[in-house]
Amino acid sequence: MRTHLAFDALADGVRRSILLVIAEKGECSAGEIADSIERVGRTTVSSHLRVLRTSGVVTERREGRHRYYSLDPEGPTREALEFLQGLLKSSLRELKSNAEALASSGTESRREAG
Amino acid sequence: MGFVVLLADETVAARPDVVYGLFGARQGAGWVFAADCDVLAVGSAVTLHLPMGVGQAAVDVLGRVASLAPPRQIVIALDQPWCGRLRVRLDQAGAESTRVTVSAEIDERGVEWLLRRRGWPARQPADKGEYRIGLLTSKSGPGAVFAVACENLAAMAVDELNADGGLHGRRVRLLVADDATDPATGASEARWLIRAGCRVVLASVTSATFSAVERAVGDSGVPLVHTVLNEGGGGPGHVFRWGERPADQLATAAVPLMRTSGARHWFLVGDDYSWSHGAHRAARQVLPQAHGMVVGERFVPLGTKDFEPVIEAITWSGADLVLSTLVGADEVAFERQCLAMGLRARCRTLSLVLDESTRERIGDSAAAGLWTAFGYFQQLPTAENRAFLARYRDTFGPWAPPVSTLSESTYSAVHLYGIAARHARQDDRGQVVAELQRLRAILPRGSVELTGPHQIRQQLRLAEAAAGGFRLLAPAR
Repeated sequence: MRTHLAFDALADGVRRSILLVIAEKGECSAGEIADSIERVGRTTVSSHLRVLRTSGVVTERREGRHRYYSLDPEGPTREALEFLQGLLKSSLRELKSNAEALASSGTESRREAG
Repeated sequence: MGFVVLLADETVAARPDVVYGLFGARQGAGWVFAADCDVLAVGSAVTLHLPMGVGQAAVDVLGRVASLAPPRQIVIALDQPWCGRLRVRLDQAGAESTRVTVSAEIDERGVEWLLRRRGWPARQPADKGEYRIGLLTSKSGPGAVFAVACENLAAMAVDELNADGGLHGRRVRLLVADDATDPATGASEARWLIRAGCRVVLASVTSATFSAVERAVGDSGVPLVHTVLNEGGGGPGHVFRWGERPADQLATAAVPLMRTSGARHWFLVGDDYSWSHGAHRAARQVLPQAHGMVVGERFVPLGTKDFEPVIEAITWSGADLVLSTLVGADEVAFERQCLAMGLRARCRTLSLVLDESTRERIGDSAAAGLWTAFGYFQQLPTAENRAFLARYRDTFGPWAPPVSTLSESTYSAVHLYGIAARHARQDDRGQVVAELQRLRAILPRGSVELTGPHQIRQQLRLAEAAAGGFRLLAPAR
């Protein structure tokens, strides 16, 4: 579920720009992020930050009235490893269908021969 | 270094020996990641094809068979784009059924690579006051075949620098980036290496990527070193082009090959970018001087898999010699198809980027009899080389990929830079650059001399691909 969310989070260009800013500056406020991205207003940045937060990609820290955002160090790693795990599973499903096709054709040919 | 292990399993309605027998059987996507392998034997090369998702090219994962226990277990040691083991276990789970369990190790470098490839922004490593050296190499794309041991060997050289006190009192740290054999990716990764504070960027990549890197970050003044063989070129004093030159390779190999074979009619095959174009220009100068004749030429896009039209053109041209300047996976596919289409019976081949790793992926039968010329081969019978290979095997184990001129030159580039940095009295870039333009050193390949930014003097050796490696041939007189 989270993998899916993280994937969606990365699909948007503005969100990727936000991630780049956070990756380069380290922890920063929504205002600092909005200042670094041209042509995107502060409200838009806030709503994108909400998406990034719920998908486990960035973490939020509150200090008084201010909110600071940083990359969740676990988030990307989790997403990437779950992606790889998904590949392992689908490749085994492929192996299953190929091996079973071969095994059943082998059985049939034995039957025909018999 | 830490590992993560991923697990997956599946029950298959077939006997273990049937499932086992499918491995590498060339039935398309028949096995785990469509594993591709000529001979299922311990030590033999395996390529897995990793689908990276919609709109992204599949990544070839390169490794070799580390152990076999038929029909119960296959273990593959992975080299590229990450190191780790892939273990497949087959357990009988009923009369006609098998439980298949796959475990995949992935190391920290691998996780980092996967994050970048998945589109996550690069993390800036925390600065602990180290002296940073950047390595740009091809961990994916067609170039991954020739670049396979570069990262290992750069890391080994950095460890040796650190064992010797680091540079200017600081610990040396290697940062590695993957150009995916793509110039635009290479340029942006080089920018990242420089932003991360690398004092030099060593590039074990194609000439196309190196040119893009030079355009992108040449102005930074940070020394850029093309470590591997290349077609040459000019540029400012901090842009270094080391490695073998095609004209020297041809001078070493083409005349003896014509004399041995009695053949004279050359067909030139290359990838359509600056390296092959430069190498073919050199061939058109060198070959006629030795009474050779160019009867045909073809360029294909980098990443070509089907060489049938090219091989037909060679057949029709009447050529009896082939000069291949194809690189990496392209060279592997071309040589295999030449054998399959019967071209070996009528043509001898000189290949300019036939290093140990590429030879191994071509396979013993398709590689046998191909000639090449480089400054380094694993077979060099010198004490320096034996000690170097022993350190490599001690560090990376028996299943690490073979060393080649491309990876040895990456190792050597780290050391040459280290020597220059130590010669410089202060930690000053201008002084290091000046030192790099006048250096002599004894390296695993022998003695070399750097003269100016664009030349390295070294001895080239002629060799013929044989089962399991290369046979060094006596130099031409």
